[in-house]
Amino acid sequence: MPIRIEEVTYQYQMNTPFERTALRDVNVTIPSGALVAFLGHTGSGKSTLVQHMNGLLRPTDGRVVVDDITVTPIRTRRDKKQNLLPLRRRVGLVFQYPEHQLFEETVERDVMFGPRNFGATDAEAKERAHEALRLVGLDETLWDRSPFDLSGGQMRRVAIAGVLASRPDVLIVDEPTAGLDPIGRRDMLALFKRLREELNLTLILVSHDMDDVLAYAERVIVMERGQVAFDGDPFELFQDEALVRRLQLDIPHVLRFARDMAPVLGETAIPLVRTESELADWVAERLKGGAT
Amino acid sequence: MIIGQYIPGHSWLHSLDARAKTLFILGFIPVVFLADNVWTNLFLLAFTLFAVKLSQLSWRYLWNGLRMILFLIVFTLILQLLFNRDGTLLFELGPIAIYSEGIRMGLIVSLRFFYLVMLTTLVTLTTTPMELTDSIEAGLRPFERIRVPAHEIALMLSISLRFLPTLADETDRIMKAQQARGVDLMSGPWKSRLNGSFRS
Repeated sequence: MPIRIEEVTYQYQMNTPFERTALRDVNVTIPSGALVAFLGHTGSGKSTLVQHMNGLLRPTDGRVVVDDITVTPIRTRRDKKQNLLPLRRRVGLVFQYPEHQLFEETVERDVMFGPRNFGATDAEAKERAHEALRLVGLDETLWDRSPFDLSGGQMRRVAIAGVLASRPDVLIVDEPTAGLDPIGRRDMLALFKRLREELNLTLILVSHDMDDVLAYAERVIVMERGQVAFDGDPFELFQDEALVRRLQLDIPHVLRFARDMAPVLGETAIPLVRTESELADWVAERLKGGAT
Repeated sequence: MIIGQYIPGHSWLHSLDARAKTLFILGFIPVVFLADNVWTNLFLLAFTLFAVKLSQLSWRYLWNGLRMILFLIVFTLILQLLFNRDGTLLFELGPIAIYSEGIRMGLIVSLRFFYLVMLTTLVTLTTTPMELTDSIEAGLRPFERIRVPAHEIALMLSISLRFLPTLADETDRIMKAQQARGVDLMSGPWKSRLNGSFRS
């Protein structure tokens, strides 16, 4: 299910002294099945942009086309009455710190909340909740517990299951690793990778972690002051130091190490490595090559 | 509703001492209720509009913010027109009878509403919440002699003001998260919308 953002401009608090342009004439197309990361500073407009993809925000100008659903600015009464529920079911959005939004008495009931709102019967909702909880790897013994008794990482899994239970085609996750320890982060990212493969999801990650973006994303879109400043392969972005500096980003640790290591090993170009293990393999290979 | 917000600026009204502004509102209320003829009301209207001009705020923003109050003003105007039976009869159609006093009182009451709401709104729009609570503390200080806990009242006020934006942010986040999970707060029959609002 492709998502097309066409010339979208968005202004917060229109017609007040606080009016602020958060997005300026943004054009982005995300094809079905893509794994795209949005990178950018706080206030660069990345979270605002992803909220357009499921109709939580409507553009001030331009339009958002998701499959056969078109979201336009509110100009007429009919626009205002447009039913965006089908869009919200198909494009799941997991907010930052989603565990704060758990509210039901048990884990199972919380996860059932979404499907129920989208019109599933209780039995169907239960079945989908179980399916989603298994997908995120939450132990069955915890399903009857109150979500507030769980650990932070477990709560976040429940919240993600709460969105997955609606069986979306597109999953948007806003800063999924924020506030997690290193192991929690790795598990979380592995989870999304697995979910995408198992469910054939289009996955959209909002992040400001350069290493995560390099390791997981197939395409990165850098937002800056409400506009798209870069759109392409993460490796292509990060190997261009001048560009990285201009966009006020950082070079991922893996690439920085590779960059400093390349001359030592007698290489001129930075190798195409995305993860620590790829980096280790590269170093090992060079060293072996040098020994023979 | 914009009363209670603060808009940073450098107008003459912004630079006035907060204590002067709160004291002025207290003094202004009885003045408003004294005005009962054309001339005094014209004077107050001119004064109010002049104050708006001095605040350098955009008319459109104020107008949008006062629309809710406008409903209340129109409502009282209609009540006065329909039920005030003093003065001379001007117009009669079936059960509807409009008297001269009805028109006069209706206009005066609506104008009073307008002055008060407009000026109190202007005070909060041009004074930071901190200055406002400080000025309330200053105003209550003389009553400490009769054991009014001025400082504590001011502290309570500033604590609650401090958490208003935090609460608003949290509400917005939870509403959006719930909407993302299929709660429809924007359209549909009001009953399901109400249901949605309370469940969140």
